[in-house]
Amino acid sequence: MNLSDNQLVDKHIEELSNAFKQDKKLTLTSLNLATNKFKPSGIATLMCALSNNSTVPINRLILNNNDFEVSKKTGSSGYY
Amino acid sequence: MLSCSRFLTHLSLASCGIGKEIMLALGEGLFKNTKLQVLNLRGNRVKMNGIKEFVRTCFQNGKLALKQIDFSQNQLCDQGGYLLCKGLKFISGLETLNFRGNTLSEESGDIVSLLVKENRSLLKVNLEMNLIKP
Repeated sequence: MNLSDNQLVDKHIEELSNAFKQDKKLTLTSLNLATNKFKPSGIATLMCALSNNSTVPINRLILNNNDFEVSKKTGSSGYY
Repeated sequence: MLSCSRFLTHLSLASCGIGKEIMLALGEGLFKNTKLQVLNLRGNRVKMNGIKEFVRTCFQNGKLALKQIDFSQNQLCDQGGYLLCKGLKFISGLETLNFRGNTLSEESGDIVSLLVKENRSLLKVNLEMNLIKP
């Protein structure tokens, strides 16, 4: 699934992550989310959903051109 | 999260503004990872102080499956290149290494040469656009 070059933000990635948790028939193997507006916390949510789910076999994850600069207030990099 | 990822073999994080904090988290995440084969960190802000945890993982995770690593267009200096190569020699299946567009110079060139000799799986090393002189 290619969702690159959009204006998606963390709210959307949370919805996507919920879909992964709920739908056990997804057979996605590749997810391209390049050039959106995700922050580290959103990516952490996605990674968490993928790691705890054995039914969505995504083996290729592309997150190029997002903003992973960690805010010193949240320090959200620790989720990886 | 990377440590328990069952399927992920290809992770591309190019041009994401990744610095010390995310690199620390990535290093920790890879500590028990046995699946990831391709890691793309092109065009970030990775410096020597961000790679220590990654190097520690290379030393200690004997089952690390990385085959391709792309550190091109980062801010790796000679010391960073030296440190990375010290760790990378322990990744037994590493095939492709990209250091294009950093600020590596002679010392790194020497250690990369040594890495190529010691890590027999390496097939391709890109050192274009650094500061290495003949």
